[in-house]
Amino acid sequence: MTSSFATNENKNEAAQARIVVAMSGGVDSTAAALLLAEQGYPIVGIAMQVWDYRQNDGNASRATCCAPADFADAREVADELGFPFYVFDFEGSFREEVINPFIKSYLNGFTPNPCLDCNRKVKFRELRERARQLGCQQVATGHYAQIRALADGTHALLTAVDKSKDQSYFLYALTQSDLQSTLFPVGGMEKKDVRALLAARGLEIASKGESQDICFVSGTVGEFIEKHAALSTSSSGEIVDQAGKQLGTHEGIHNFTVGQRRGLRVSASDKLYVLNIDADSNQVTVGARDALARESFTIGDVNWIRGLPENGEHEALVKLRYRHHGVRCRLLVEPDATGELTRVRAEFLEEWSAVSPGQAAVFYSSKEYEPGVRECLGGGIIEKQAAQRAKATLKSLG
Amino acid sequence: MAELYLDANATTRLRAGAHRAVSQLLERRLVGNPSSIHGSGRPVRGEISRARRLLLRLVNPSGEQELRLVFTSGGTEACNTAIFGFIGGHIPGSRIVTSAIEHQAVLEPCKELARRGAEIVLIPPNSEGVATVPAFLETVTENTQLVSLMVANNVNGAIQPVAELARSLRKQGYRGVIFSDCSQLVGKSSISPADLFAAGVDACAFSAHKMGALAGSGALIYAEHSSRCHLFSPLLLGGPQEERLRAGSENLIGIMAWAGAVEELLAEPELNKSIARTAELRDKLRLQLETGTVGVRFATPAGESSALSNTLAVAFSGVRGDDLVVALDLAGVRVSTGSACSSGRQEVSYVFREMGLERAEEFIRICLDWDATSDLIERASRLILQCVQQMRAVAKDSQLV
Repeated sequence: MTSSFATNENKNEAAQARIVVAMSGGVDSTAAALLLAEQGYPIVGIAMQVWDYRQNDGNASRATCCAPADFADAREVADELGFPFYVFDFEGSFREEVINPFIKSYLNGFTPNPCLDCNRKVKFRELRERARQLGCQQVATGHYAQIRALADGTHALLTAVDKSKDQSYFLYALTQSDLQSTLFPVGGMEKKDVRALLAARGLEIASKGESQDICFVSGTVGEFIEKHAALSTSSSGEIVDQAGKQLGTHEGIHNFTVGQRRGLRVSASDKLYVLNIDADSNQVTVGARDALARESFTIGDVNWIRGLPENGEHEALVKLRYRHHGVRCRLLVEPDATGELTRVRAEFLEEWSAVSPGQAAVFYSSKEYEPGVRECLGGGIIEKQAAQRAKATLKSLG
Repeated sequence: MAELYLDANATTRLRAGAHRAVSQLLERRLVGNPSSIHGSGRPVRGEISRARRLLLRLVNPSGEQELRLVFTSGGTEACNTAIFGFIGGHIPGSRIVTSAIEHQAVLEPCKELARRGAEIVLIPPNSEGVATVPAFLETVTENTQLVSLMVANNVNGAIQPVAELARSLRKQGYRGVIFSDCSQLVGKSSISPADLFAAGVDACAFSAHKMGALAGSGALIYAEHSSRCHLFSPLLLGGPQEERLRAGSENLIGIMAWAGAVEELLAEPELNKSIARTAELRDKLRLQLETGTVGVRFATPAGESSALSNTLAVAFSGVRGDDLVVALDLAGVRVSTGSACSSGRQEVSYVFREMGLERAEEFIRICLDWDATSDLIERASRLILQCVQQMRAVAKDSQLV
């Protein structure tokens, strides 16, 4: 529990004290609901139906986060514990805010992470709006992350106690007002203890699988894009080397990610990596791994959770994709095209790592906040980078 | 927080008579199979005969019609029995005409018969939610074996012209079966099922939990004299219960509870007055909602004989019905959109869509129960208006953001 609930001024009003718990029917959100219910908070479970798994393809197995069969599990738990549970239709906003940008982004040569948009624009924004419509101020989810109220009145987002489950990467876009009214009940627990808690209550969900895939994609991302993008013309194009010499052909740039090595289907003596994806020329440039090296890169649409760094500069550990170990960077705040300070230039300090435009770069405090826990400072989306400038002095570990 | 129950078309609350009957059954430890010829079976059989008699008296008070009653597991089974039972093996080439706003208990069996080769004609409702007689007359042909029309719609409450339809069909020489789902009728309208039979209807379906008793019991009541009913074949096969028309030992507790509720209904000196009183409360709610805020639309036809006395389908512009149902639930007011999918998600009722209503997703269904009071309506209308205002405010707020 964070301290934010205790400071809720409206806790005397039953409806306002009620906490909306986003419940998918999975282990973590069920445990979140259980923990709050057992602490005596009045809660309301809400499941977000974002994708019609009956009519579209998608991962309808129990290993994804929002399959309909899972809602039945969530409902069962809610009925047994005696709190209201509702399923809401978020298909429209999911399509508009997640699916369509996902397709568009791939077709423009980026590698987006749809879970970021889903968390930011659907799970937090839409859910919070429904909560407010229901007169509820607080929202809880089963994310592995922690929120701390600080002495200066701000709230910090921290990584989870269970490092292997930390999901703060997906939460970098949360604002102060989000953090004030959000609870992550399992963020301070180890996953095995979360499962043990459910098992101790006799809930079968305790042994349910992990959700890892993109929930709406059942085959490959490429197949999904081809089916849903209604491509009018052939998407095939050239695979070229850095000198522009054609090495092969590809079946659409959406099948590639900068830094990718497998599946290029180009024979060469050296290992080849995707260096650049150009949507205009429909070309994929490949080359040796060293050619991916760069001194710095830019990040757009940046959110600083506790405000811009002093002097516009900060040293931080930067994760370039979920499950990335993180590399040390110097972050320099820059104005974007409109003059807003929502852009950051990140300079690699010790080692470089491949940057894939479209993925999120998320900033963490260099120092540990407490043993094994760092503060998530914010993040943004990696922009398309200008030509590579190798920095041979950095060792390559990425 | 007191519960304000306004979803009587889903299920009604237990009437005292039903409650008493169940308690007495348990107190008496009445155990026995009504089919047994020995002493244990006799009292049980007696209770079931009594229930049958009471129900027949309720639907046919003057005794003018010669009716038979088959107990089923509910309104759904009664509808299924009628549709499959009357069509029997004569599926290919036969035509069934029904309305597009029937309950799923009628629509789904019809769809199944369509898969097996029957021709199904669905009559769409007009903008008031009524499937009209001329529309039926146009589509009923020589090879039509079954015409089905519910007596009142469960979602918007609109009374359907069943008696008029039956008279017109018989007048133009229609010789097939006419069936009417009467699940929502008793206690909510002064229409007498006897009048439907008199007009030429062959069979009607009834449901116990829509009239103050328990879910799990229903009945198909049919006209004994009707030669058409000889085609009636049972849905369930097994023991010779219910004159071989419905196998399986009767649901004693459900049937006794039903008899208790019916006894109470029959004892009400002027049932029609209590129906009129419910209509007054409903109209009061309608007025309070209409004058309490802007952008209020109704999908329940106004006028005493146009709709069930207890039903009010209403929409508040800018507020989704499924959201409003949830907000009201948290405020203690139990209403519905008229449709829910298996995941528990509230959906837009096809009835509103079939009526061609704009922004059909904004409609909710409010249905007063038999014990609704003026005080309940006052409190409910206040809470409904509060929720609507709060939801509109939040929506406006986020648009500004």
